[in-house]
Amino acid sequence: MSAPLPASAILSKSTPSALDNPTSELDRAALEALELDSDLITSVRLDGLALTKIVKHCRDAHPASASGTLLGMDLGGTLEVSNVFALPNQPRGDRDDDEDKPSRNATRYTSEMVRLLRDVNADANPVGLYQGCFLGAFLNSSVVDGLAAVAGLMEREGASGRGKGILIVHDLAQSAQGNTVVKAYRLSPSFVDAHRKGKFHVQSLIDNKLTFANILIEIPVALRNTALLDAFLCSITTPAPVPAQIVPPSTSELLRSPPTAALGPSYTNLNLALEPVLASSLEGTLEALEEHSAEAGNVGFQARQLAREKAKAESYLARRKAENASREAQGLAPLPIEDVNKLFKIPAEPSRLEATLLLGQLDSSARRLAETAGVGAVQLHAARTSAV
Amino acid sequence: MTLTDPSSSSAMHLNFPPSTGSGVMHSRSITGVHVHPVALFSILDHFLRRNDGQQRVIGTLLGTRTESEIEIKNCFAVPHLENEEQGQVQVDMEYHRNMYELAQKVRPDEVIVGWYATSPELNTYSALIQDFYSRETAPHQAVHLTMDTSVDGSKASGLGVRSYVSSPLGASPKAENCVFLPLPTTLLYSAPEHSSLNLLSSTSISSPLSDMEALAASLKQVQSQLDRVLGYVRSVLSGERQGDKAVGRYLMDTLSVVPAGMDDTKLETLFNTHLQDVLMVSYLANVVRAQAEISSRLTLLT
Repeated sequence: MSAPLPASAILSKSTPSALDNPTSELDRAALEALELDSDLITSVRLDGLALTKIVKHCRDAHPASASGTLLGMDLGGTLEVSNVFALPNQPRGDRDDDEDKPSRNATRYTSEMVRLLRDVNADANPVGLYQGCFLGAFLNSSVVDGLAAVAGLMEREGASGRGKGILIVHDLAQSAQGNTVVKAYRLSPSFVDAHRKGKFHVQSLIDNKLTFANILIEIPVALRNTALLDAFLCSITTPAPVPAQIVPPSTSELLRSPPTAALGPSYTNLNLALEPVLASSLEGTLEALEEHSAEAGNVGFQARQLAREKAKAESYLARRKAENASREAQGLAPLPIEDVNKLFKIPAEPSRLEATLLLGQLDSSARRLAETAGVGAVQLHAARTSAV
Repeated sequence: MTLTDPSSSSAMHLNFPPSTGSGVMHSRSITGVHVHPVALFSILDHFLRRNDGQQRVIGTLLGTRTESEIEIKNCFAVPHLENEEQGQVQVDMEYHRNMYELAQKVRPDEVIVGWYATSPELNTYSALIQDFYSRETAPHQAVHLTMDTSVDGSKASGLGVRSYVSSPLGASPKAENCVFLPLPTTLLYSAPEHSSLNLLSSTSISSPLSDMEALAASLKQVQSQLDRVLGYVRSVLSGERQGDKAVGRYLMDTLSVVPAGMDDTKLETLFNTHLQDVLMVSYLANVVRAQAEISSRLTLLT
């Protein structure tokens, strides 16, 4: 009598919803989901399928960067990403003749794909973007623009979609070193404000307190597999049983074909060959540094030009005023001073967006470099204690 | 794991004379199929999202082919309808074309190599669909991949993957008559995919780890494996257990890899110089980060 009780207790614990009162539980969950359609995404749950697709796309596209759209739904602040699809890479050549062409192409591709996926019952709500990167640096203007576009799309569709677009970043180099890391970000509200106005000069940066560190807000990512996927993973990580034979296998046979699983454990992250990784990380950081200094020089040049033009205009104005004062003393009509705007073209204040984003790239690649070096130091110590 | 049926590797390959019926000319038979995990995962997902009452789902396999082998790299679902009463099968060809066009824009090198179904059964409809896909992949052979999605504990074949090529059968070739020849199927993955698959298959981890945590986990795992081997060796030495010759040979091979007889001081200097490099890089990286932070704050001040 008492024996089956613990088993059932464990069972109901592991699957809390369905056992005792399935319908009411389901209704409650649905209601909660409706009510908690919050305006903030606080965590991301990534499906195994989505992760594998992202990793595959990043690897296939490797020298070029890979990006794509996330599909899923928002369940009370937790974004469930169940599927993704890749977006075609933009041809680099014809960018200058039509500036907004790539993003329009991507939008058309997305809507087409979503329409087709809906026919096979896949989740068909674009909820964000993924971006592949190599050695840390991922923040660039096309990512930010794309994310803002997706957020805008979601806002139009749902009432409270503001700032919900999620960016998932995957570092291929890290994966190749043996540790898969995905990070999720969303745009910060202050950046969304600034982006909407389209102004990124100094004053607006100060007003919104924007630095590279608070353009994106990191969100925790959890991984989740469907039950069927779990079962499949289990079956490919378990070594196949040796088929029953009449004659037991000999030692040499066993040596030749040991019982292995289709998917064995990987110890890539114990690899001590650090130099190539460190060298390419350093190169990446230096490149980011160079790009940033070039952009900083650009901004500085524009700012100086601006100051020069302003000074010219002011001196002209002062001269004209003095002239007017003397003319007034002689009883003549004053000269117009409005033509200063026509005479001097004051250039627009330079946008700091690109510089800020490049600084962000620099920071993330330097952080990646520091992490790699840290891991390398630990590996070396571990190897030395065992070898000496 | 039943990815490769032991009997299928010794499959007999029958080459039928090229038939004009299905328009397939195959000069050379395919000897093996490699599947990427992405394709299998997509198939499982598609099966989970099938319509009510649907027995199986099908879709198109994309990949690359060499002379004798096929690599299945991706797939997409295609809606289809099997009509039991009339013995008809409908495949949404329009959908298939559109989806293929979109897939081509992202990966132009992945072409149609065949189709999948989520039932291990091969029937008349399979032959009909195979005929359709053979036309799509002409002049090459189309591959049919089946994935058994029933997770019935009583059957050992649960979640097994098999692949076939077809040959027409009979004196006068008809679309619904063909024989499916099994092919050896292996799972193929790259290093980045391997690490992500390990992450997914480890049941204890629910979110990605940082590099340090992953390294610690790996080190602990190695430590526990060493302990296990050590325990085994000790118990063999003390005579508690009968030693396994194969394990002994493995241990021997492994130990011979360790560089022995190297000068200790030389090893020490090697480690030290390496460590200095690493620490220097770490220092530089942190300096760069500090500078970047200062620079961004200064922008806000002006």
